[in-house]
Amino acid sequence: MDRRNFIKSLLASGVLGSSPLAAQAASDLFAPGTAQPVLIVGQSGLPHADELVARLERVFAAAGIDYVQARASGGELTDYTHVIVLLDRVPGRRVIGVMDAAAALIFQELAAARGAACALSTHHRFAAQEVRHCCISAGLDTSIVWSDSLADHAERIGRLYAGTLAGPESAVDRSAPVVREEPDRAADATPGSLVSFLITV
Amino acid sequence: MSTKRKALPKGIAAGEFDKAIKELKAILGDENVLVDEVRLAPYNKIMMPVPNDQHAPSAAITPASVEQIQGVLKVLNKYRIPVYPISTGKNLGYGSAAPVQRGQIVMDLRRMNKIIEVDPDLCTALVEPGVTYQQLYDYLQEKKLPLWFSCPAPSAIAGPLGNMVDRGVGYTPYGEHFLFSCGMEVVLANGDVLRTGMGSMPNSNTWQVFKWGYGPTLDGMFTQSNYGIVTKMGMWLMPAPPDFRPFCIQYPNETDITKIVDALRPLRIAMVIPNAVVIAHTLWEAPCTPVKRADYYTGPGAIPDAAVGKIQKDHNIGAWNVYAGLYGTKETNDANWKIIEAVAAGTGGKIITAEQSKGSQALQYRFDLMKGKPNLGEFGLYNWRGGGGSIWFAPVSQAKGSETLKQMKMAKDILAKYGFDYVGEFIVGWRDMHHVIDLLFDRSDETQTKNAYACYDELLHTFAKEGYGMYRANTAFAEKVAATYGPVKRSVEKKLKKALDPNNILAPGRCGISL
Repeated sequence: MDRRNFIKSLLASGVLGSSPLAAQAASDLFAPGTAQPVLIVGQSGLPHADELVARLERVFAAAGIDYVQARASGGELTDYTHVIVLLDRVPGRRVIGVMDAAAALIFQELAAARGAACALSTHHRFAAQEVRHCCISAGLDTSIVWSDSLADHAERIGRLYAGTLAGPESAVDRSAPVVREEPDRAADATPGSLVSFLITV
Repeated sequence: MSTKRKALPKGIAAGEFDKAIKELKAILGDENVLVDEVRLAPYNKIMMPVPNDQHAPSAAITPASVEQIQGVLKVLNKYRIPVYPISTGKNLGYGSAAPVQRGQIVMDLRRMNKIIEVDPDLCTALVEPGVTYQQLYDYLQEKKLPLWFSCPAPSAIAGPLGNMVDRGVGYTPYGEHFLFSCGMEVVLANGDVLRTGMGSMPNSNTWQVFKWGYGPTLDGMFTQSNYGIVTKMGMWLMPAPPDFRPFCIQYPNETDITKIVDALRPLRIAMVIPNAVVIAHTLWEAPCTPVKRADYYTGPGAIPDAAVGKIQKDHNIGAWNVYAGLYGTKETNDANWKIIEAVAAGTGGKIITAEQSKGSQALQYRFDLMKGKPNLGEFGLYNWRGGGGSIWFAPVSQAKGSETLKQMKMAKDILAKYGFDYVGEFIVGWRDMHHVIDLLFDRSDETQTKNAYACYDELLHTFAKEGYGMYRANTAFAEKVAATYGPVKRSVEKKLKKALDPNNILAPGRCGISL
């Protein structure tokens, strides 16, 4: 199975189980057994970010993925010194960021300047009833786009990141409905727009 | 057995590529030759409105010295594999770190990050490609040197060498960065190391103070080109003035732009105002304030003028917001300040001083840039629409008021046709004016991405028809922009390429130059 199908299988999954496919999500850099817990950096003051971070925590706890969390405001995440201090704390660590577009760009570019690797980066666009996601994974030439209802989307995103981190011993339950790949378009420039990503610094 | 790779350089078989990678690893060490897809991900294109695969790198390498670059070039010449050099790779709206063509190996020079020399008497610096503005700023602060440099808006993460090589601009009196560079070291495709200007002369100590040397001045050839890899650059630093007086002048109407430019141009040419005058539109100021677009408009297409007017009113933002500064002694600035006050009064503008600006994010980051203090304030633009797509459209014109409304109308009409907002500013350089427009789009939306491409394409050709050329362009449009400058120039560029890089290994396609 190629990487695209692997990502799709994660998106379609209900719970994490054991599947050798997880090895394809990322290189050893993101594999389990990495000594330090995953750091989740969430931007405070953004309700959708709060919701996604909370869901990531729940899914990670259920999957036995060790994590710690750091919160920072939008102002802090666009301040060079603050981001550098954050990055100084995480050498060798896997980091999940959940923040707005400007903060995500700065964080990822500063991390890249230190040689960071990136497994996944996802844009989330919120409309009244649903969320459109656009995920680019390392090695994919094209993005994977799908929509979820507003109520469900965080769960699936949580599983996507958990599945990528959980590695070859994890499982993917395919019983859940397959995501729609041709979503209704979320209205342009709707209030909520968010980026999440998984890197290792 | 060869490793299966997603992207390969054009015309290179996987087996040959693997052999080259093996030889590169022998020179650089395994850890400095990146082929793992997650390691290559940061070198993928992020803001270009084209499919990802068009600019996917085959590998990235991180040499640490001129000698290593020479060794690398020997291998690449042998296999005829193209390489795309970057300094810090933060040329975001102009193309980021991604290679100009699929399969090129990115040569990331970030490990060459030494500030080789700062001369506090002559106010010069000599830096390597990986040095960032923030690093240089910290160095000057640490050494307590009262010297300023000019930097672009994303300065904290970008670097002076790469910005100069791309002929970027900044906001202090030294804002025309190539003009204030002095001396380059360039590794040519055959491995020769050229030092421009006085640097060619053994034992000369004037490399960073006299740009021209003897004979043809070659420095310009290595900017916006692919004739060599610039590994060192001299730059002039500005003595911190005893008195610095930044200011903003706000104007209420879009049509005010004509009189603004005509009133300020003479002050700029006479150097009463010694730095580039930035005239930012409401929608450039709003995201950096920050204002949320969605609080004013969530419908389809470009934001209506009425909503823009409401933003102005609600947040005390001008239709145009002029930024400039006075640099001198208290006495000279007091004298010149009276001129500024008279010009503002005569043109209907409202002055905001540094003291009055306290608490305004939009003004603060501008005032900091005007004294060469790096920051990331302008990244607020990326939250305006969300989705992270951005292409700079940057035509040049004469610094005359009559040019402004014409250009703005052309741009607004075309942007609106594709559903995009006019997020623009005019920058009165000296006698020229850059009209910089940030074409912001949601790159996670396929339709918007396609529209962004078509929109830029129409902007480019419509402006070119009127005689307006780009001063700089996004990598995805390098070929198209180069074509607007006519066949003779391109023919000369090609002859130079053939002479200096006969195997076409240095960034073929960059700025439209290739064999």
